[in-house]
Amino acid sequence: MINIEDLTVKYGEEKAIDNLSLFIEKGKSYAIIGKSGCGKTTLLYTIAGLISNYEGKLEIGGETSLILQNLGLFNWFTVYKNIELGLNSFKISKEEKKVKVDSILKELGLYDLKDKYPGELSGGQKQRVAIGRTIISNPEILLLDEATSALDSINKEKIQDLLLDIRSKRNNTMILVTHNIEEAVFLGEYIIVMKDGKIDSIINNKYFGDKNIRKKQEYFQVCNEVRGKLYD
Amino acid sequence: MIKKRINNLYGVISVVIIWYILTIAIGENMIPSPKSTVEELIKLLKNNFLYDILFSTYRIFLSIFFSLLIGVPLGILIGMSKVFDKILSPLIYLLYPVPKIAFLPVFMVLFGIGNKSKVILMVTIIIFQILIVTRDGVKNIDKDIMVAAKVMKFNTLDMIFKIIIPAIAPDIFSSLRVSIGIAISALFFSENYATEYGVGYFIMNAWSMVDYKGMFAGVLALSILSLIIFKIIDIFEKKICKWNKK
Repeated sequence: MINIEDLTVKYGEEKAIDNLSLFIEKGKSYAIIGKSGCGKTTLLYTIAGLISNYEGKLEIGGETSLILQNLGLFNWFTVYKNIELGLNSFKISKEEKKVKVDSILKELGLYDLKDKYPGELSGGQKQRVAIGRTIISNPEILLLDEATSALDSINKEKIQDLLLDIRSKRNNTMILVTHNIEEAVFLGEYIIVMKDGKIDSIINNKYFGDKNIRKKQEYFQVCNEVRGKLYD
Repeated sequence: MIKKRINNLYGVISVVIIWYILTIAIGENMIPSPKSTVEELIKLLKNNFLYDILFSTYRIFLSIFFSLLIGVPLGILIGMSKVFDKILSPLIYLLYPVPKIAFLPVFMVLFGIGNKSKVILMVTIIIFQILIVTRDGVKNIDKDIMVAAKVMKFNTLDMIFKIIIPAIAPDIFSSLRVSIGIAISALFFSENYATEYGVGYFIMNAWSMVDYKGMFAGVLALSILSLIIFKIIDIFEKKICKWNKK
């Protein structure tokens, strides 16, 4: 659960978030969409605890973890070590860590790549490493900042499928920021349209969770509804 | 691998050819031929010349060690802290271009005429490169990596050992390569006083005694020594920066 009341975040004189209130239910998935500069990334960073200079109320019930737009992988560590770093603040033994890392590596199809360095991986593989590093600590709230924006459309859909799988398996709360309408509709149970630091509208996506939705007519209907709100 | 060997061999062959041309053009008295120089070097090595090489090598490694020991932590500190950057960077910019050899008399007064002043002279030459490269390396670390570190709740030690040092390691190796060449030429000067052993001393001594064959043998030994040190740095870099496949 996340409760945001009258949140304002300023960069100098400019308001990035303007008196915003939002309630996020536990175990649900939210996609925040809007034009660049609408404050969506600032909102996500504030929830992630990376911005402490805000006004208003912010209650966060549970651990958060964030996947960054440019991933922030450590090029000098192997895939294995990068994922293990997700457990950095955990006080558990090396053996316990190994069990967890191995299971994540297998789940994400990265086991054969565990001794490679990020520089040797493809975009989609790097993305999976970043996801692995984030989900290994099993955070209650998973935050994603434009997580698939650097990928080509085929890899984009593969990663979206993976994210949907992860969420339905673990049932964690997911908040993702995107500028891609199709991604918002595929991954968001609620689609939050932001404009000028405020929430413009919230669309309830009743088709959420259907892995084959991309081929269906209803998908385009929801996409068009979002499009309508965005360009309003 | 084979290509690399050919490249190395190509370097040696070109130097030898140019050398021979100079010998013929200027005369064996001034520029001894490569063959007689190598023979002289072998003869010298059978005598005490190995001590000269060992002493020089010892001084070079000592100065690399101290330059890294002081330069890297200080560079990290300046890179991480705006306050230290403001205080120390202008000082570094001011002192970096100063010819350190000009301070040799001061070093001799302060640190004596033994090994200490020689090593300190070399350290003052190498350390500026390492300081500046380390500082810039720390400043240029990708912002997303810093955010990721914050998300993963890194403490200062994690930041230093899991991010900063690995991120700047390739830069430090590059700066070492650049500065060691300069340091070795400085060694040549610093070995000119109060020395019993040292390649620099040997060369200057041979020069003043008009023993050109000996002088050239000394220069050749210094080149070979530099080559070996560069190769050692390459090996270390390959072992330490495994991810950096240039």
